[in-house]
Amino acid sequence: MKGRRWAHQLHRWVGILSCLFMLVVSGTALALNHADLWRAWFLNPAKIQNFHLSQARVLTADPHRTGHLLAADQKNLFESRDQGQTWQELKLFVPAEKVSGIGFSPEKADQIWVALREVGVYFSEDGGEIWEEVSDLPFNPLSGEKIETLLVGAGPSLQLQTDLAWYTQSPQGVWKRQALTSGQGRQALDIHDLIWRLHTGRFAGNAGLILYDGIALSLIFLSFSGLWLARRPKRKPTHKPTAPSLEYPSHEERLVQKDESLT
Amino acid sequence: MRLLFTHLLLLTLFLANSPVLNASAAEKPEFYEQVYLNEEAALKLIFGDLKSEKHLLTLNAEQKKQIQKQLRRKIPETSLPIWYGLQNGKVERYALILDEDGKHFPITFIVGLSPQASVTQVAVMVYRERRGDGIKRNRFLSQFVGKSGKDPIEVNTDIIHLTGATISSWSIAAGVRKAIALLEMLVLK
Repeated sequence: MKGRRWAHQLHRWVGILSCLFMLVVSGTALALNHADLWRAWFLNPAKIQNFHLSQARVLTADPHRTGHLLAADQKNLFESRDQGQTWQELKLFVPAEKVSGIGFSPEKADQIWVALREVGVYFSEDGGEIWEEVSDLPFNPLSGEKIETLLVGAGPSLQLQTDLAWYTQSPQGVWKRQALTSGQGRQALDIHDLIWRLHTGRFAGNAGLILYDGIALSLIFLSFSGLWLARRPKRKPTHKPTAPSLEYPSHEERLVQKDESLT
Repeated sequence: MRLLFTHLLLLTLFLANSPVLNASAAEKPEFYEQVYLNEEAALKLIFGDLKSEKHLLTLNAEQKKQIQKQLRRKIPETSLPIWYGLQNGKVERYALILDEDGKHFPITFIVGLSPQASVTQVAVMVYRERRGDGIKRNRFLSQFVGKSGKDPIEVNTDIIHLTGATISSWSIAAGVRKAIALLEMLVLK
């Protein structure tokens, strides 16, 4: 009897903890799928970008100008003309998110290439004032092949490493593809992508999002109602134990009644 | 137990037919044209009862350079049409129909502008991909209303991209910037 009560208490508390976990999972899933609804609270157009070299994920030095550096953190591209003492944001016409490579032309000053890991490669021939997308890439990063490294060689010619292959451009602009020997990284990325699509419901497009939203809201409702029921005190019996029961007699009681009637 | 098995079977069949298992790195772009507004309907949306009049904006080399510098990108056009919305011979609205590259295919949309070059309305006319068409929603497009050349009109700065339609959101923002810049430079200057 004691063990049963202990198991009941354990079940109750595990249930409450699971409810809380479910609330976190459902809430964060909704927040991820509808980030545009809450991101507005964090927008600050006047925010000054205080960049420090220690934040750089990618850093490149201009071979034509001493002290001219380009660097990128997770979300922006920056330029320094004084060996990294001060930095200014260098804007592309698209958000410079996940910069995976920056390259200066070894021959012509002011020619810059910037690779955005999941978007493509951008080129400027005037030191970063006017940009254009490099349209003759031999693959489309928007289709899933992600750029890991960008190098600029003589010519100028580009060399790109993606998660699938090495691409080398000749000075005449002809691309050569060399597949990476190990496919492990790719497989891991595919699985990551698969899990992400399953988690967000994006595997089924807009219908998947609506379905997942409905499920998440149902889980939130179930969690709250479960917590409310768990908190609610147990109803005390309304009748005294000594009072005659109005319920239908049990099998044993009926046997006793039968015996009594026979005697 | 049988119910659980049936559910698992149904889920497996659903996943097998969904793009999730075919979500390889080299996702093939699928041309999926969705026309929401034709030219007439789009102009009606922007102008209402105003009388529309079509004109042609032509960029010379110097203007093109200035526009490109302002937009921080190269633009392919040297000329493009603009519609004036007239009431009693006075211009009350402007409208530009633009094509901007989306993830794989161009997005066609209309930008309505006031005589002070602030955005009055943006509407998607043709979307050509299966995913990301959420940008046609007012929830996203209403962010542009009231924006002018003084505003950055940049995703993550004063515009929030739509989740699941990041590139399309960038394209619309870039197009609205272009429409304002063209109007200011070629018509209002």
